[in-house]
Amino acid sequence: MSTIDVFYQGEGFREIEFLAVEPTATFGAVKALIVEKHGLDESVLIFLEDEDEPVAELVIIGDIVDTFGIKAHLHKCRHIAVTVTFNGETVSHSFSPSKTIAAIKTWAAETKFGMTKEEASEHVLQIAGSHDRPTAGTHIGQLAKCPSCHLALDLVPDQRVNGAPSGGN
Amino acid sequence: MAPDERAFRADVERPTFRLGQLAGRWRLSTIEWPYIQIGVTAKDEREFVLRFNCAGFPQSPPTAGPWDPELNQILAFDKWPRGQGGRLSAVFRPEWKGGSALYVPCDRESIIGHENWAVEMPAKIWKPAAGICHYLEIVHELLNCRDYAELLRPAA
Repeated sequence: MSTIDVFYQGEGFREIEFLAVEPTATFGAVKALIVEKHGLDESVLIFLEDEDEPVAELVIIGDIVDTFGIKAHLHKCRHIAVTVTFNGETVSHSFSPSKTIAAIKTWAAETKFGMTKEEASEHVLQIAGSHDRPTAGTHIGQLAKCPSCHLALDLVPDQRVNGAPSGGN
Repeated sequence: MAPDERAFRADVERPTFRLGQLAGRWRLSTIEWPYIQIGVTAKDEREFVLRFNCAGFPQSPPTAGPWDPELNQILAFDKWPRGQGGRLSAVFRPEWKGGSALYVPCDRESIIGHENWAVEMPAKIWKPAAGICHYLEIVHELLNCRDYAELLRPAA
């Protein structure tokens, strides 16, 4: 049987990382490989993308693999306190570090600020006090460090590219 | 192999690019340096191929426009993604540079003369460290936004 692709993010990682493992490997074994590869603290927890709780380390990778392989996250914090501000109003909630920016935007824009799906698609999340707009697939744990475990975001309109001259050559 | 081609080939081996490809968001088609063809999937599952010129990658931004791989030429304008006057329409402009470049801040040809974009929309300025995924993320988002006019399908 072929290996399984594990795409993972983590606290302080600059980008998505990758590992190929045997389908019989447990999450505990995968965590140990990643801890060794990156020199992480052994107390880190391993999560599946967008899941609320860490995955049990005895679970076998091959039992839950999906089309893309496995998307995982490693973080020392079990929860990240997230605030999202829009039009002067701030909402807050705690999420697991493996929640994606896409999931946070859906929660903030549609659930809390009452936007339609289409209206939400015209907005993006931006890290407060910066111009950084993490991509939809970014895990919030990549942006929040232990022990503060906090992430402040602004929900802002995605601008139209303006200043268009009538033509170019 | 020249350093820019070597850097590009390493870039498309990065997990971020591979994950986007596995998820069906984009697909690397051909590399004939410095020209690269990459298909990007729209919300109605149509694939639009962009032909990039990546000379000088990654320090120099790429430039890209819709391409017809079968005819090996710029995609006929009536086949371009259509918007409804919003964000997509502002970027997919057949009259801009004769259709060879998208009107986005991360495009090498389009940034010329638009230094104001660095202040007005810094998130869309080319970032060498982010690589080709930065350009692809912007295009994929546009092809999946509200302004994108989906292909009308005949009633079943």
